[in-house]
Amino acid sequence: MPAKKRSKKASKASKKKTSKKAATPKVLLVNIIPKSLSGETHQDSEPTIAVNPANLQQIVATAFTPDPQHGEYAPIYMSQDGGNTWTLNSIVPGNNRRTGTGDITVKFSKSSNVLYAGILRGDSRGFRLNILRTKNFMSSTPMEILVDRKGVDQPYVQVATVSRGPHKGKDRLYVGNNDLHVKSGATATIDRSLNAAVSNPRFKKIRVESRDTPGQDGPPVRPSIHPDGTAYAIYQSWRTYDDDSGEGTADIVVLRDDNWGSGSKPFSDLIDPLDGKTGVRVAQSTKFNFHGSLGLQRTGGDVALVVDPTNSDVVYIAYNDDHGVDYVLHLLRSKDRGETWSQDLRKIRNALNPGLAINNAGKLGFLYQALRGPAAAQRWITKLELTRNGSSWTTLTLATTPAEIPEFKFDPYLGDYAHLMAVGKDFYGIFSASNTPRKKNFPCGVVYQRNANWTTETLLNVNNTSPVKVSIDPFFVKVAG
Amino acid sequence: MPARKKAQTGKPTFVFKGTVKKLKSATMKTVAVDSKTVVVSVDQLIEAPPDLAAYVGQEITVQLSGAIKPKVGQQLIFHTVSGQYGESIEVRSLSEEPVQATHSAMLSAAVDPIERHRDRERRSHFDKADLVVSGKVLAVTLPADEQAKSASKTALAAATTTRRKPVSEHDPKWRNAVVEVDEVHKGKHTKKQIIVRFPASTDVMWYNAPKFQPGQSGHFLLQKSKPEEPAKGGKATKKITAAAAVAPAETTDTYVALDPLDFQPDSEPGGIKNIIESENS
Repeated sequence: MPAKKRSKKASKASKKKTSKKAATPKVLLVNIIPKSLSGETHQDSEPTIAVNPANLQQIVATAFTPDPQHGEYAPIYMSQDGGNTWTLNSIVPGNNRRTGTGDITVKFSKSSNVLYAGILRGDSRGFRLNILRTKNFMSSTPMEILVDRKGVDQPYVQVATVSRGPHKGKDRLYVGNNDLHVKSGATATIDRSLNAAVSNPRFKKIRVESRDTPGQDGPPVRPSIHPDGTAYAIYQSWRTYDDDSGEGTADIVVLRDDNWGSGSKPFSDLIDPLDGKTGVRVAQSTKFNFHGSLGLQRTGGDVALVVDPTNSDVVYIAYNDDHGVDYVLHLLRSKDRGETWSQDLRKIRNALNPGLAINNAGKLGFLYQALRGPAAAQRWITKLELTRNGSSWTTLTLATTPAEIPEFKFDPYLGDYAHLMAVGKDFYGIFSASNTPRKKNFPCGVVYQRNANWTTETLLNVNNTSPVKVSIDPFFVKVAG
Repeated sequence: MPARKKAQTGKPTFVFKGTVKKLKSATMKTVAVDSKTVVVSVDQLIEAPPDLAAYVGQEITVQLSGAIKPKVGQQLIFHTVSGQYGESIEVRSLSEEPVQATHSAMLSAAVDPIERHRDRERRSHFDKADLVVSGKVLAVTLPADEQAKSASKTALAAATTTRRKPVSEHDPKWRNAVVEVDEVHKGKHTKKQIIVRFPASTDVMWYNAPKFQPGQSGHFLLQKSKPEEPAKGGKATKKITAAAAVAPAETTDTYVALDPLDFQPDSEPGGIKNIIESENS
């Protein structure tokens, strides 16, 4: 077959595989800045989300949002109507009056309405980790501190609740983090409690690195837990690092534990077939630059992992690496509990902040933010791709916003992560983006709570008259599965 | 059902004169309503953070302290902290007081409520500062521990068990500003120079700290520093500016500046200058 024809046919097949004409899912997209804070211009980046599985009307979100009154506690965003409207409630210890909390992730217990959080306190310069808990996130009572220690980066919370057997009802809490105080250099860590809902729960620090590092691992350590007790995690296992250039190489390592990470050697059920060490190296010696950037957003290593709630054998991962000047996002799948891995199911140039979730029908959601367009007119395109089989995709463009408006205030511009999760058949996600009220920036539609004039494309203050500068806001998205 | 609010402590951060419009009522569905919940019209801001600066004329929800039982139409001064922020706002009043003649200075329209809020924060910084000086930045240099980090890189070309100082995206990227002291306004300091350590990082944790440049002059509100031990084997070779040659040895007293209020340039009127003046009067 002539090359030209072959190319045309391949292109047609490719288009078919990424068809947008497949039944378009129903999308709810909401800018979650409340109406009462219409005058705010903060860089509300790095958002996360937690949906209460016991009450789908209750959703909590977070971002680098300060307490509006500069008080002692940083706010969470909360919705009590399924994400349609949002309110701030300042209950997170350690507010920084300009940025709120430091790094934060949140997750609900499956059945008890308890909300857990892992944070770096905004009022500390010592990378002070707090693992937090509240039985009532709507109350003004500050979250309870379960763990408090310094020298930790990027706490990432996951919770599973045991559904049967002698431990039924216990909350298994996993907080992936990069514990920079570990002198051996094996800094990738998971703080784990097997019964986190009790008074004074016990935590164990699990050091998951089994290989030599140049003094540390990368910041993201991401667990994902299946209700049958299969616990996975992914991290960026650093092999080399140059302090001056910020360049390094890392293996992308996946770990598994078949019993909640509860044994004497937790997260050691996957052995790499080549070096015989704990954790399968899905990709080796990937390149990264810790000083790198994509547009105004810093780079340096993104990883994500999700286990299929319908089948704990099936796992998807996403990770980034540098290919020349491109920051490339990869999506791969394992169907045999992480033993072997597919080639790239998706390979997306200059994209980051992957969020992965699988619904109760085994459908995968893949959220990411890609930088597109010519240098002078670049845009951040936030997409959600959905697939049942890893080969046929439905793509939703949630937002397309100017990449350099507003101006940069601090790193991270959009966040070192965005989030996606699934409860039942539906997907719930959150990302940060430039908030100009322009309809074509949100092709699936959008709802603003804050005041805006959509004709003049202007944000308005609480008096609904005075103009307000464009800034970065968090956007909640719900997509019917 | 929203949970009953629990009493908070702390200093009020949003102070305003308001008129009680409704009793046992709220402007938001998500807040709990009881006998202490009232709707208040904000008549005048006395002290306000920037995000709440446009609330004059707006009706908001106030959870009263319980000290007094106001009537509809009564005008009070409310000293409040954060509650919830949604379609409207809910604030928690730590205390309320009837408007009296003695409040006339506080209610003077001449004082910007945001500036008053900032002044309170500045005052707090002044009180907490170990040392307040006026002076000029002579040079900006790389601290010994940062130099060591750089010097150790050659050992890191491959995986090794050599201990290096780990990096994070929140790395402060410490720098030392060498400051020539003109005058000491608070604390004890006898040397002509001090080192002010500050983070050059633009990370969320550090971006709003002062970023000193040679030639800047003004007032410095400083905390004592406990510098980390330089990494072993570090070698002091790298300079940030040519003027680094004037930097004293790091045995000079070292302080830190982490907050934007820790430095006020000479060109900016009021602020810390007023506090120093009031301290001296």
